[in-house]
Amino acid sequence: MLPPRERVLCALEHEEPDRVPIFFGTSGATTMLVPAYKRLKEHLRFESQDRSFSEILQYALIDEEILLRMGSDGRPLTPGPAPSSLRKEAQDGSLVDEWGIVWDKRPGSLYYEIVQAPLRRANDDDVASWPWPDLAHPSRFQGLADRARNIQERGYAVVAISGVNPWETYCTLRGMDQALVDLLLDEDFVHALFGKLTDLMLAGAVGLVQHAGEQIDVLVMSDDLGTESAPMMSPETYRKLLKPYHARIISAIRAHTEAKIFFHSDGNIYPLIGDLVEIGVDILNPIQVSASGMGDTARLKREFGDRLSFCGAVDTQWALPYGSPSDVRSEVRRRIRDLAPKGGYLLSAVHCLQPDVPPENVLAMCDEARRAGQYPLSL
Amino acid sequence: MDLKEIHEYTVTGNASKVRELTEQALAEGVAPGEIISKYLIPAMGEVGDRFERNEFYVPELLIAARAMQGALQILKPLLADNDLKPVGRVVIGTVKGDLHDIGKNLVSMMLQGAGFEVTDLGVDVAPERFVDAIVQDSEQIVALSALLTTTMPAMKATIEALRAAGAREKVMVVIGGAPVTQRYADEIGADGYAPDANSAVRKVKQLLGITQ
Repeated sequence: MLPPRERVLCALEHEEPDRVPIFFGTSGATTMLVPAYKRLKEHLRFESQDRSFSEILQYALIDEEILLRMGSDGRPLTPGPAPSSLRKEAQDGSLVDEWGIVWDKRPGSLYYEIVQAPLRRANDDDVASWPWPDLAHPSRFQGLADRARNIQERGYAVVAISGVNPWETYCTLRGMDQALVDLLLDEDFVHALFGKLTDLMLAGAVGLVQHAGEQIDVLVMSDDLGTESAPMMSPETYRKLLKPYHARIISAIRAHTEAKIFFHSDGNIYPLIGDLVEIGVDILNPIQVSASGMGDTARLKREFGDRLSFCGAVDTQWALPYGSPSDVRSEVRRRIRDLAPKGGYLLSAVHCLQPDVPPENVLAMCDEARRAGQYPLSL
Repeated sequence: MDLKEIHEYTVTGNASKVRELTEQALAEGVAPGEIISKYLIPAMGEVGDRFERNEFYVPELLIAARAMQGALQILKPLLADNDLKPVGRVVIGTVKGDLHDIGKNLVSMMLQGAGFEVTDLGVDVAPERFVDAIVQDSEQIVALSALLTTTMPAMKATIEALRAAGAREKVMVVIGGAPVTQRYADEIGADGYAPDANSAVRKVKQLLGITQ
């Protein structure tokens, strides 16, 4: 049996290790919502305090004992919070994050939702004068290299969460509908705000890799570009307005590390995969198989598998929440069969597991991944 | 003036030009109902078709809909009672516990663009509010939207609330949203499902037996 880290690195070099690596709890999309993790812990009769990557997004930090049980081959590495004059908890229970976005959780709701997009009516001057958080502040990276080294010495792949997500942040600052309208009606503003977010996030990512770049195996960045049916904007618009900034960020990161670039985008981004490969993406996540254009995972492997690794693909819109454990096992086998030949596949659920996913299904996913993912594959 | 420009500028989402041309057309004596039925509605039909063919994406849809709505704001107050009957009446909302609305807003805009009268209840709409919104004896569509697997069950609860209120037979229920499927629509007894805003208009017309 290979050590987990070597298993991951081997697969990412498009070679077949001993089995398909599993990424569970390594990033926001590969973990569980805190209430879902509570259900799993109860099922496993395991007690621990609830911890999360982010209080607002409620992405659970999974305990080491559970990561072992699930067979996860990576461990997350997160920098500290960015100093910001905007972050606060209001008296009514709403939260303001480092960007100044106001979030609230209504009684009975599972989720924090945006109450106020602070830059909805902003202009270029407002962008220039906004009290932006300091993503490159040294306090964020203290002790990071040691933590990364510790993960590697324990034999796991280091999955660093860069926090780079400029388009998502643009949408939350502006309001998603206004953001989409900006792309067509106000290119100057797009450059002002998207450019500013790129500068900030690039500086944060470079700070991260300057401190711990040698110890990072996978570097996670994120930007949702797809809806269930199609990219959120036309490929032409993406290439003209957003792609150059993504390219600049990846290029700056690569100057300081040999870590593989892991790019997360939900939805149907099939028309943009070639562009992402072109700008240096090594691993595509989450492969939302329920979205148009992404379900034929055999086709994705055929068309991109020589240049791109895939992480994700186990369906979270039907199989995991509504299927039986047998349906989940069948889904796992299908995605391994399609994506894992010649390596290049890290198995995980498409997205952060919600509380409607039965614990039996979560276990079925990881157990079947270990059973059916043994190389040479016999599916 | 060339009234066809109202159609063209609506399709390309030039709201200020559409407003300007609308005012000009009115000044030249064109009936408000004619501007809507001959130029705005066909323009939105073209927008919907181009969206389905992946020539237009959500941004193009949004700016076209805004251009149309800008014209409707001028024209609606000028319509006499029997100038332009709505093609149908729709009550739409995002279900209880769910605050996502862009998809629902697109469906609402496309339905208005097709000549429907739309009552938009907003987001986080409890089943009882859908029941309350149904006007007696008017054929209506109830359109439900959800973005999350965890809020989809509220669609079933809404259908049950309609049944409990004796209103289920009076309306057709159409559902949509990212995780929603035809299979789920069948399971909960909805009358229809549509995967996007343009096919939602088609499905609603089909359910109401509107052939145009």
